[in-house]
Amino acid sequence: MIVARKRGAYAGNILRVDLSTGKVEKQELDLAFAHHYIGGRGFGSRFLYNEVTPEITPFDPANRLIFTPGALFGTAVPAASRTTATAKSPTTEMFGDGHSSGRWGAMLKSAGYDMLILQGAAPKSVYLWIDNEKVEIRDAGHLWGKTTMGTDQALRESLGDHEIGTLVIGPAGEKKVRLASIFSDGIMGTFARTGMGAVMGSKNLKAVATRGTKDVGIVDIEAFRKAYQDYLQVISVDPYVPPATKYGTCRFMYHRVKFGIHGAKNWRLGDFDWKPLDPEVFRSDYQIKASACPMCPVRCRREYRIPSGKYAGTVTKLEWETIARSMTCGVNDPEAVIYFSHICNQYGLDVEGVGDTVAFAMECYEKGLLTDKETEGLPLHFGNPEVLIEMTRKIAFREGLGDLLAEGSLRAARAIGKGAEQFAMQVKGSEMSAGDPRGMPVRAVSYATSTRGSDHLRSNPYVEELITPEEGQLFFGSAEAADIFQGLKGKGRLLAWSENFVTIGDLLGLCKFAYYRSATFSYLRKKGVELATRFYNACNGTKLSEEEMLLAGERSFNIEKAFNAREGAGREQDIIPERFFKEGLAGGGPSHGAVVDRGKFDLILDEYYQARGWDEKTGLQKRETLEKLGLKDIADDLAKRGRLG
Amino acid sequence: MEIRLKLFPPLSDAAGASELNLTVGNQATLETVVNALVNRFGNRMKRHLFDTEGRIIPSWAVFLNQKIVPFNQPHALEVPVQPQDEVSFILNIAGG
Repeated sequence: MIVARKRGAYAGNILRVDLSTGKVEKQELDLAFAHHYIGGRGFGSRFLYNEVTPEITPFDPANRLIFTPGALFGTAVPAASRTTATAKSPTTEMFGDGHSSGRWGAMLKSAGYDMLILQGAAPKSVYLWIDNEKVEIRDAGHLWGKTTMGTDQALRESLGDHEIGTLVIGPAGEKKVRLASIFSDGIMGTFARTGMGAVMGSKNLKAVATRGTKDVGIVDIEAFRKAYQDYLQVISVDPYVPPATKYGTCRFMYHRVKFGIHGAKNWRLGDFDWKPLDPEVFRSDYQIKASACPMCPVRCRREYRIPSGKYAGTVTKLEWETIARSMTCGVNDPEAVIYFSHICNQYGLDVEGVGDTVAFAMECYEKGLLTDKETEGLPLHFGNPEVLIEMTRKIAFREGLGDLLAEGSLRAARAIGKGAEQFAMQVKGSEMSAGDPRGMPVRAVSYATSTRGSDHLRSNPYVEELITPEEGQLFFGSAEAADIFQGLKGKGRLLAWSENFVTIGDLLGLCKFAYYRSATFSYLRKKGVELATRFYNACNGTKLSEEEMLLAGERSFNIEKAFNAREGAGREQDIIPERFFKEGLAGGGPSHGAVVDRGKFDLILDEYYQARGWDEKTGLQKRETLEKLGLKDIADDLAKRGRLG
Repeated sequence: MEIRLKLFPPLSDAAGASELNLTVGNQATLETVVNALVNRFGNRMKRHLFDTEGRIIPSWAVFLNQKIVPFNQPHALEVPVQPQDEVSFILNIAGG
């Protein structure tokens, strides 16, 4: 039974732990601050900007690692199960964050905290035990070296409680592999991107175990019930949902196939022999469990088991990006793909970063920039699953060439030299994700403007694929916004809106697939803005308007942009790899020969900067834009450093 | 005349097949094909092709003989089909 709570969805406290000194501080959460920045990514970005200045490097103990559950996590809001981890990124050396499902965020709030700020570095390996008010830094000697699952199980057994929430790193995080992730509750969720696992490892922190027994809740239960019914009504009619429920994220294969945008073999081939990786193959031959993240009615989580052969008995979760990045390495053996996912999960690695980095090395090998001498005899050929798996292991443990690749593709390319940088498919130092952008200029620009490096989840570039020309005119000032291939006007405005829009999900802890993807623009806005705002108001007894919620998304995005500007980034960093401009997609298929038109790219970027109120020439923010968002102090800071537009 | 259809989820689930032949009249257009699908498979097909206001969902992309015809473009439904054309439907949105 849901019980009304006066306090609402906030736990009310901030927990700060200095791992160097062992000092634990608790501070009351200022509700005015909370309603301004909302939660999740909003809290993380604001505190990171305040506390991590340019002279602090990612592995400096002074770097912060900030965990912030979304504002609605821990309530009964459907698909509200996301937590943000924020730090200065070892991959981009700019703003970094990862977002994960799992139980841990709800446990932190139930323990009484909306935010966990970690600073300093422990002198030896430790884990943090948060048991409601009790907070202890404990020795982790017995955990160091264990896999993610092994650490999770050991913690639950030693603490005698299988209901706790956990955050753990694997061997890759311990060794500060820049592609390392943090895992939540075993492998239930992953803070995958931007090297958050390496930051945790640099602090000698193996895990955070948390038990909370208090409640966060809902102020206006009737308003909550009505919003819940409306949410269920929308997802019951949205054609986007049934394939998700049937196949999980493996369903995205069909979209890639029809458009021919696989990006196989290090982002060169649009078409690829994908049939062995058909979603139906995973469903019928390997799926053993269909489940859901906490409170989610869509149920797109999947677990797979390999029944026989060399990887027999392997059981793991797998998402679409593992399949996509296996194809980037030319691999189409489904059992190798499942096993690749398994070892990334166990060693604590980001499949996207690792897949693209191995593909980079394969192309270097193909071009003779890496030889058998550097690979120690490992033939780095595209399409060889054993090579992908062995190279992944070497990266996790920094063995041989893996030590270089553990730095990520851009740093590895700079070390190799001889023009290798052209084969590192990355933006701002973070490897590519999702589908190939050639032929779809707004998607290309969205990869460039993401504040954490290449990322399809920082915006919703797919809006151009589902709006009508009338909606394009009404919302983005031009019917052209709805034209995927030829349109130009309105695209920059669409992108800026969609970035603010999906950021709402990261403030509230809402799943992107459950709220920020849909088959129609009206369903999309209904879920992502209207219902998200209604849920927030019902939980907190507030009267935030939809415009104010979008403004909160814009505020958070601008803080991240300001963080990067302060680090020296401007328009020249909002760029995608040259390959996309110069080399037509090869391999046949519907997009064969497509490139990203540089002229269109620049015009969309110009319109995007205009829409954002940033200077077109430098890409830097203007004072009036930041002041409008209530960020005068950031404008002053940037002005002092000469980083305003 | 008869055309060949390729369907992806959720339409393939609604039709119970991912490939099938469909009979439509001469002078048929893509709109004719959509209506023939709804006539043959009823509400379980209609609920995926039309929104709650009765408008065809614009994010369906049709590939007519491998060439894309996005339904969010003006006049997309008026594109004519010929005997033995291959028409495939896919929800034109990715995500992950």
